[in-house]
Amino acid sequence: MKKIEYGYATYYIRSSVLGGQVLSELDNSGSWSRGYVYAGSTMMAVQQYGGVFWQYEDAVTKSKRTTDINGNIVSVIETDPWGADTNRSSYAAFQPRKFTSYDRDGNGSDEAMFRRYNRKHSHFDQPDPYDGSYDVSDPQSFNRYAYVENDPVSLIDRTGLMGDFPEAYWGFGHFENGFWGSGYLSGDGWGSDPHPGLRIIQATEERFDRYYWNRGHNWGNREGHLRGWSSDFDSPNFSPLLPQNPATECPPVQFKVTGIAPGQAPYTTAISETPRANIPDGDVAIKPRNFGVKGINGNNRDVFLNMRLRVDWSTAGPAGAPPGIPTEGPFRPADVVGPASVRNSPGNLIDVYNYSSKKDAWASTRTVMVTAVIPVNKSGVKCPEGN
Amino acid sequence: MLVIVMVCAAFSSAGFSQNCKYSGTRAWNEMIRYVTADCAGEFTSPNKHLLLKFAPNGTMSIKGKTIHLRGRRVEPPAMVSWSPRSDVFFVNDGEGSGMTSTFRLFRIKGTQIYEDKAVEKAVVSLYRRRIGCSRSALDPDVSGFGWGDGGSKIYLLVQATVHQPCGNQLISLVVRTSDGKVLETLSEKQTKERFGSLLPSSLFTE
Repeated sequence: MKKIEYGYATYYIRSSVLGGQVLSELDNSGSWSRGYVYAGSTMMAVQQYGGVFWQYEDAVTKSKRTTDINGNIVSVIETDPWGADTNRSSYAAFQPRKFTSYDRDGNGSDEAMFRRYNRKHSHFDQPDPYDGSYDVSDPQSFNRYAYVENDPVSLIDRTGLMGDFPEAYWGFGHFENGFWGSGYLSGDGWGSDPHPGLRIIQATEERFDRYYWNRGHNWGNREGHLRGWSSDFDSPNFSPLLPQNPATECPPVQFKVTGIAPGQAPYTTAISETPRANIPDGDVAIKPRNFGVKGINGNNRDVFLNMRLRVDWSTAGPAGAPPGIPTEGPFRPADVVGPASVRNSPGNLIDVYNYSSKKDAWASTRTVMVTAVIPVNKSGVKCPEGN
Repeated sequence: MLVIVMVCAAFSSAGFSQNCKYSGTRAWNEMIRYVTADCAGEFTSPNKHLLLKFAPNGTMSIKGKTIHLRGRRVEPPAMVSWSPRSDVFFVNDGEGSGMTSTFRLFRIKGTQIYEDKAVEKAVVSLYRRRIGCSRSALDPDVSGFGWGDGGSKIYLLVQATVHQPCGNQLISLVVRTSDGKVLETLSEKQTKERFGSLLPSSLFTE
């Protein structure tokens, strides 16, 4: 399947084994750009930018977190159960699956395989194509546009054809046989499970134990907290949106923050080295000298890519976050400021991608306090100093 | 039953890392190619006689001979395009960021390669005059985006920079390759109509 967005083509390769789920995406030039890993119908990981990123979804709120292999959260998606955006997301454009397993297009609607879902209207744009779903004993089934019979908290619809219970509720066995090395989950569950009735939560716990184990943390007593549905477990344990590897949280210092709209900056970026059509909303361009280095190179590229910049908009002058800003942060460096005369001039500066219009971008300049969180490094990348 | 599909490449422990896969790939259209920062790139002339190489530091060479520049060296990210006649090529120099662009034209005469700065100078001057922007504003970004009439014309895009912009317009120009004379000046609307297929649609968001 081919999609053209902003003049840039994306090709989707679907799997007949997984009921049509997208396995990988190819970019405009036909090169592989993103892959998806599933357990059953649940997406578990996405491969992109040369790495693997794990996906976690709250079964009730449908909020998502994406972490890198070290457990650092790189993307937060906070929607309501209907998939509507909230202002609590950050790096939401890191991967395109915003709501359930739907691919959210640039126009804001969701590709739901057999139909398109519209989170603004909270229903599908097309009627249910499956005549067999009429049920005279279930009046809601006669609403042909409704999403999961208007019960998005309990149900999920991955194909646009039928509502179903999320695996995280009932545990249909997708974590058996040790994808996560989950010993006592490998049996039939109810009989041998030392925690009857909590089986899938245990599986989820395995995922998080693995996740925290990778980070070198001991979460052995987590089990005691697990009583109830998985929503009791998932949400509170997401860490602050900061790198979890050893990192330095710098003192806040003043930055000038301005914006960039699509098309204003035409080439590949200098840090993430991707075509600009692929830059996620909220990525930023930085001045390397603000962080103690002259430029970007193989020694410091990863440090910048794992850096986060938190903006305190309450300190903004002129007051308030600028209109049209795609996200209020935290921000991730993906590019360096140009041209050289601006890049090498005094003063702290970041440019935020992708404002929807040039007019908004040009009018977006603010001075504001910014806190940088920088991975501990030997590349000379250090905290910015005050202007 | 457990169904797990491991997609494509093997898991990497590298995390984010340098990504040279776009270097040399198609940029805005088939005529121009990306040169990614810190990555090598090779671009063969249409007549197959000349191979333009970019070293990861941006140094250019043809037939193994480094192209010595009088002024600033090219700092990728950049874009490159050979004229269909193989006697000229241009580089859209991203000056180390790709956020801005300087148009750099290189002519080949016999074994000599030299940079012709007159075209960019004339185009910048025309834009500044047309917009009437202040002296303190930065020069606009100039990018080549193709060739017309078998290489006798160059298509150029001129637009305001992100910082300290000179106006906020986007125009395109058709320039004669041989002497850099500006043959046509097109507004944003005309540019979209005539050259929309050669340029990213994101340019025309207003």
